[in-house]
Amino acid sequence: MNKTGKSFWALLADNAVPIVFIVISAIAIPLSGFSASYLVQELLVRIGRNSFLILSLLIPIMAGMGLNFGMVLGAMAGQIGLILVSDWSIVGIPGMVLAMMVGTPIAAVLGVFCGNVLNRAKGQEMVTGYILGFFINGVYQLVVLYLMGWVIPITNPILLLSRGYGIRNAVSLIGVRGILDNLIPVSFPFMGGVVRVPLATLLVIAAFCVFIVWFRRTKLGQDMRAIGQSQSVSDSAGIAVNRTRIIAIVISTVLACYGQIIYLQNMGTLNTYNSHDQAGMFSIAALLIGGASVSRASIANVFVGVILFHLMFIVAPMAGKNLIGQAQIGEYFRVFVSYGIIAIALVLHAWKRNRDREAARRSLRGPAEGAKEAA
Amino acid sequence: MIKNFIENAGWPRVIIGLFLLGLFIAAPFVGVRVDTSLSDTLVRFGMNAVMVLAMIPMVQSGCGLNFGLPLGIIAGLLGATLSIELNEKILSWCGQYVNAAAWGAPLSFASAIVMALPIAAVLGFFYGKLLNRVKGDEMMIATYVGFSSVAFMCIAWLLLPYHNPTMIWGYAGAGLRTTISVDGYWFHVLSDFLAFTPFGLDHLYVPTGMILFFAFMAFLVWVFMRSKTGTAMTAVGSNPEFARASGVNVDRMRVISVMLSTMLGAVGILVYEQSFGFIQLYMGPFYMALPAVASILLGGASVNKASILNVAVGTFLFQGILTMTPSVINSVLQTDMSEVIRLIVSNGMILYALTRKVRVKR
Amino acid sequence: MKTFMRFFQRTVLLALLIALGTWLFYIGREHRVFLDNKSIERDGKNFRALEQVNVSVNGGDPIELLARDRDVAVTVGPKFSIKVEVLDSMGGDVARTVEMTMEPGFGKDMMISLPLLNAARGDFILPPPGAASAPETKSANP
Repeated sequence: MNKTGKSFWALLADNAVPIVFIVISAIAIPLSGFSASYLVQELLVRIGRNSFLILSLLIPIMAGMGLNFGMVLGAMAGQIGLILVSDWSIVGIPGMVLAMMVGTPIAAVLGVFCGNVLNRAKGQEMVTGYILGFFINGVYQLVVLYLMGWVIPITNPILLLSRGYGIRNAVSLIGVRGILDNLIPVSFPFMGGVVRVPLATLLVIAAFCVFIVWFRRTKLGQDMRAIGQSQSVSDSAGIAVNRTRIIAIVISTVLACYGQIIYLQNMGTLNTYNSHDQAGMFSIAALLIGGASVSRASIANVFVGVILFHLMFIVAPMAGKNLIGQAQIGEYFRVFVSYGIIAIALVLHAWKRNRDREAARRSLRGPAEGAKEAA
Repeated sequence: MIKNFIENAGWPRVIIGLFLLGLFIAAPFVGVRVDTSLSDTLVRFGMNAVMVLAMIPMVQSGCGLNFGLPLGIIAGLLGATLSIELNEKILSWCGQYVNAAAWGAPLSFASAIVMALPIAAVLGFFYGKLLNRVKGDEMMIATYVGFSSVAFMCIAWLLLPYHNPTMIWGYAGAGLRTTISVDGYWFHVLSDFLAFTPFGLDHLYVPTGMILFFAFMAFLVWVFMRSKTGTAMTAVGSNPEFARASGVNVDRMRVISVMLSTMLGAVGILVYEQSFGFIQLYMGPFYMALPAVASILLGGASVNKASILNVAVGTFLFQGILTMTPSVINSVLQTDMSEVIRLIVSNGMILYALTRKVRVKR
Repeated sequence: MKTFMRFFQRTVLLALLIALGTWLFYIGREHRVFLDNKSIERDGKNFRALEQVNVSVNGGDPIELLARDRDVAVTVGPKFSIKVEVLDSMGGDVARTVEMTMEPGFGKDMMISLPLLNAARGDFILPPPGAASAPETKSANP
């Protein structure tokens, strides 16, 4: 009786974050007044839109590098690809694939840079990645706001600002809008409404999941997991720790590039200077809400997280409006929850890490004391 | 000898210092007035210096750079809004002792500080306790605690029962405005104190009061760091095991340093607001930690060591770059590059500092 | 030898990727075909605007152009088919039909002068509007 009781509470504590979210959503959904078919439709769209980005976070976590705040670098690379493809008037699937191809080398170079910087800041990877995101944002703005149209030839005047160089704030992606989502049109009636399924996108995401599962079994994947467990042990085992870490970041950055392109083809418009800002934040928040931690994340965390996070995202403003009379509160509430959840996850992770360290230290102090603590 | 100076100061600092000097020299040639620029730089220096000062306690005690400065800023915002809301009551109460008409502005300002400090102390206390549980990851958690509290306060600003008509939305009738003017309350109360324009140069305005205030705060910090508690705090930062062995309560020192940092942040935002003229609520404080962090790093501090000289030099260099670069480059290139340059310079400095750490963390 | 093989493989891979990219560029390029029904002068002769002409691009719905009209059709891909039906008067019968396939390939936009096409002249392809101003200024008032 004691054992099963303990494991129930342990299960609850381990998955505290998703459970809290389910409770909040359960309260907010009826408050918001949205119909079931609307919610299902919105969720399907958002899963298709965001999952790829969130999945790109898995590999650095596997390699022990924490949450890759540097994924905005990949998002920026993808955006540059889309800008160029828009300029060249390439539409449809070829346009999207070409954007990915153009973005890949940019993302790879940024990934190498990011990996190197992170290697030099071991122990503080997350803050460094976070600041690096801002720094490269500055470089990105330099390129897009000043060099494009001037040093980098842009011929389509729709893209340029009136002064002749620099890209406009909003670039219409009408050429590639919905191109992946609507590739295989599938829809079914559901509870009084019709739900359209972005099948092709979901298939791409499924393929990516298969890729991740396969990758974990390769030598490279195993090396990364070893580094994630312990850098010193992997080093003595002959694994090139620094190089493998860089590879992990490069893969993650390139995948973030593709993820951002998929995200933008669904949105249909590129906010040149803003779209990438939230990419990292919301993806990380969603992953953490799905129950992942800084040191451990699975594919299940990704999907649970995207559903819960976006469910809250959709219902919070209307729930706030119906509850208190101001939709603004709902919007601020979801911003608060996004940041708060990251804060809580980081705190829990660091707290647990400190506790483990304390326990390890205490067990070294002497067999008698160690046994007493462990009991 | 010059080599020694460069090694001590560090290459990035020297480069940026020379760059700033270059901008000042180039200014007259591109039609930018040197005296206006100097005066702008001095004003911005005074505005930001106290918030940069707030970085010192936490850095010295080993809690890292205070990315959670927004928490202190929120305390300051509460103090400022309360001082406006309760302005009449405060002035009438003080009127019993002093001539309220003459001393109105300084009294309101002082009341803002008096109300902000306890709030900051309480917030800092809990924040410090939190940081004690997460040793090693303080900076990341500080960032998100800062963000979450700003977002939380966004909800609070909408709901708190403020009534002063200059502060709340006219039409909707509820909730505070995004920016609130302090004109008529304590605008420029420090800046104009003893301000002067030397040599009759009309454009060179020196905000003496604000700079004196910073000097005063810096002096207080300097005295504190030399005191018994202050030295214990530094010991905790440089060698926690040794400090513990010497009988210092490491956790308590860290909490005190966080409280101090938060309180300085609260005072800092008030100094900023009296010069700027507006209280910025909602998402205003969101990114305000970054310039302060960049400034102190630019001044030569590292992640675990900071001095008042770092604060002064760093704030001056950083604000100088922020002031000069837009005006000079705008005149030369006919374009506004200030935002981009600010992003690259400030974050580049922080990156440099973060990647320079070679000490093994405990 | 081993490093040469690796270098060779990588070069081949890179060449394939560039080829793929170029091919995607080719088949994905969107072209705007401007249909111009304005009077235009060539070799000293004035070709009058047609009263009414129906143009169907890639088998799509016919675009009706009256005299002095200009319209645009958007196509994707290196080739497109165009069917031009010239009516003898506004709302009348079809006097003449011209069908052909055009291949802009890597190019971008183009303009087709319908009067010139109707006269079976070979130079009916004009640069798109905004690119060159010469042809425009020459068109006399119909």
